Amino acid sequence: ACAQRGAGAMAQIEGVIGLVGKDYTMLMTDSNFADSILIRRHDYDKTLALDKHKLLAMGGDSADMVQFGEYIQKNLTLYELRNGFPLSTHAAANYLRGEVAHGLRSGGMVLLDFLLGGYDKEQGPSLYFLDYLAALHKVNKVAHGYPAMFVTPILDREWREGMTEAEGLEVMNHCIEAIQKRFLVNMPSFTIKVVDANGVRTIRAAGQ
Amino acid sequence: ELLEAAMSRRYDSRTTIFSPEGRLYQVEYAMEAISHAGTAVGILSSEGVVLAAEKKITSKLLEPSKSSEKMYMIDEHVACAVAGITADANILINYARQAAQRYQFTYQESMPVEQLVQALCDTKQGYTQYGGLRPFGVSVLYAGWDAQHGYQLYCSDPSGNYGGWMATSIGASTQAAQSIMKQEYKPGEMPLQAALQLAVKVLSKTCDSANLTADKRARARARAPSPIGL
Repeated sequence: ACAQRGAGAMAQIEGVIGLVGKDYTMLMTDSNFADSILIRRHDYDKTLALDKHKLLAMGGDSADMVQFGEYIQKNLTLYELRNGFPLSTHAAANYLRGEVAHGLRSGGMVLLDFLLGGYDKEQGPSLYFLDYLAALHKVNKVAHGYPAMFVTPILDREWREGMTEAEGLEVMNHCIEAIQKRFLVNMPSFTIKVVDANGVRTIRAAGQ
Repeated sequence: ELLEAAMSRRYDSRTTIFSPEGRLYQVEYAMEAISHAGTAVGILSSEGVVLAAEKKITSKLLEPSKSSEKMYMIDEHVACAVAGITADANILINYARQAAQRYQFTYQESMPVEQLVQALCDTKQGYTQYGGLRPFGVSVLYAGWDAQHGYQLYCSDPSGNYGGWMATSIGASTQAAQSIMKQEYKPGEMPLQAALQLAVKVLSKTCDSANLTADKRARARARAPSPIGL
């Protein structure tokens, strides 16, 4: 399955960035829809609201993004309908990891890197890193893809505990500046979304 | 009346068949088997759940068992008491333990108590509808804690039905046990100590023997978030 995926190498090009703030989790992806060396769209939304308080940002194979993303989304909905309450972010992240891990040795590999941002009443905001090899980590700030090389030093230097939404957005803007200045691939637009107690909100729509 | 009884025998042999009156005889016979088993009671308190059971000593020659035949830990946050055919109960206990661990493996969280009950009950129900196998001759009392609903007490029977209870009993003398608990249970005003005392009182009144000794009782208490004191 790996060999069949010509876009495999391309998965690393997509940028997925996240950080945890005072009472929110902020996720950002680039808005390119790329096909080999051609960028077909500049307004592609690579995020998916899994439920009221969970946001999944993805980078990698675009077919998997839709098929696998929706598969997770529908299974989370099914759980909530069956049991009367949604899964916690921690449980959902581990469920997601298990599904990616299953694909690894079953010929149905999911070629996606994920950032899962969630908000739970008791735990507050949280961010989970999950890559296509099913490595799962709970983190405060992190990025996937080549853009991570440019963005990680900025996150390391500028992230602080308990940032306001404005402060978080400022850090994300610095990340965008770094990518646009130094990364070989043209990334003119980014999608920025936030998850908090009120749910999922779009700060910057794909293509803006 | 006699004719009806004779005719209904035709519908006994297959569990997957309704009788003309709309009954599942095999399920009812399973419940009859349970009504001869040692009593178990469960009582919900604001500070925990109490399970108490009567261990029937069938022979003096029997070696005291290292494990209990009445009370089991399903996971760190759920315990259960059983009444009925012990061999059947063992299968169900094993299934419940696997279900709990499977959930933990997938979600890295404890399985919510009601979901565990439902998983077991769905299994029991299957034996009343598919496969031509007889139902499990076991009723179960489940005591547990989870973050969604706190302390909970559930009861299931061979049909696969279950209910959430404040106080209930399974096995022999359930009518007597229920009527005592109905009188003495005070919803919202049962601290753990009161629940323990009520459990002992119910067992002593419904138990056959003249005096109640410690080895005739097995008790489990569930306290949040765990552990279970057995």
